[in-house]
Amino acid sequence: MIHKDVIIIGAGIAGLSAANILSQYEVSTLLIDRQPMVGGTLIKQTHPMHAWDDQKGFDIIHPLYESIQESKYVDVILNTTASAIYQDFVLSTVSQDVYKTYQAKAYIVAAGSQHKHYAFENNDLPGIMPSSVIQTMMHTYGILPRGDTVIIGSGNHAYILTVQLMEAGVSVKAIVDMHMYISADEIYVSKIKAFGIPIYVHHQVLEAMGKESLEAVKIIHIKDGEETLLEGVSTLCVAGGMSPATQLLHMAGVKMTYEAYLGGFVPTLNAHYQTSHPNIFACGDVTGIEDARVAMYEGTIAGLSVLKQLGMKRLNIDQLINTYQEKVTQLKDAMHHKDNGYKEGPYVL
Amino acid sequence: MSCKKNIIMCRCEDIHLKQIDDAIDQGFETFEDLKRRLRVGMGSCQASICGEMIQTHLAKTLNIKIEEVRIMKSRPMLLGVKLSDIVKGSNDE
Repeated sequence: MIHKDVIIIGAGIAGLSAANILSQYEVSTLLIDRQPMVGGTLIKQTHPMHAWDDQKGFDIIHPLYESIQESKYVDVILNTTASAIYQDFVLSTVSQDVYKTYQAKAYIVAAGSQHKHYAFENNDLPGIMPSSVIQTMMHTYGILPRGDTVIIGSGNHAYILTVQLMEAGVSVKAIVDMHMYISADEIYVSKIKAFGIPIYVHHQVLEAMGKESLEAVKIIHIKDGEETLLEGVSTLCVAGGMSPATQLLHMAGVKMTYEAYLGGFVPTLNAHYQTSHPNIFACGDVTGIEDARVAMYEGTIAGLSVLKQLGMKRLNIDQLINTYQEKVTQLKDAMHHKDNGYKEGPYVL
Repeated sequence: MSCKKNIIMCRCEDIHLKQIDDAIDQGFETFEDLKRRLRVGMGSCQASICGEMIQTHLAKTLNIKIEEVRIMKSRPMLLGVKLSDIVKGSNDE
């Protein structure tokens, strides 16, 4: 068994932000991620993001990761999945065929989110893919979806993905928006309208059709039940919302609550992003689906809180935590009055 | 009415909506019950795909809030691990 001061699970923006704080101190830290590269979902955001002064995801991740790599106290291991956490704070990891166990004084769970799935007829036909899979294939491996694509979902995420697909040269046949109105910011909607892509508002998928793989999609108006058949469709992209990836936290037995507006079950946290278990902290989307800036500040707070718990002396640590807490509150207040379909996700038939 | 047999709820174990609804009718009213009856959530993804979908469906069918549906238990391991790898990992200690 390998002993560490801190283990961070997940190297997205939240986990990296926590590691960045810890890297400045003599705290032995291990940062693990199951993907072959750091950056989580943010690195797949290849469009200029308005909330980040038009920077792309990579621009934000890259400098953060570079500064972490310079530290001799932080080890980063990729392609490695946290497979279980036990009551004696042993964490097991799996990387290819190698199984290892670790023990840390504190854990920061920044496991991110997973896509919600959708129940409709023939939902297992080849050609039906969650948005995150399409994004990973397209932005990480350079593989485009085949043929004409229909996007079902709601919120900015679905519309941004549509713009990304169009810019990559994929033919998008339609957007099926589950909301009663167009559920994205005007900036993305205007682009889509300029492309001439039809938007079916307040519709959901009733049935996927095809023999060997997807050929057509039947959609239905949620209120009046009118059916529309979209033919010649090879790919159906399901951008139906995300939910926190809380399996490890469940396993650790921390207290959870259900919050629909945060995407599902989330850990109960105090102001220091500490769970009901004093040695387990959580930050980022695993604590609720939020903006990437929120995840960054949350990661920073979790990093600072762990430092404090380990008894490290840092000037103004409480004051710093307070500052970031205020930033998180401001961002959340600004976002929560906006109805964001991305979190609510689809409902089952 | 749509054909429930064509709606896959658990991909890993290939369980469709008709099987779930039949089990609910027989009184298997929590995720853990359904898991023991049908093996939902016991495949390679360990309920990360079907978990929330089945919980939502249970809440809707039983007409209760989703937070009142007893949450599924997350147990080690979260992914498939070969026993030989665990033995090897333990021997190295």
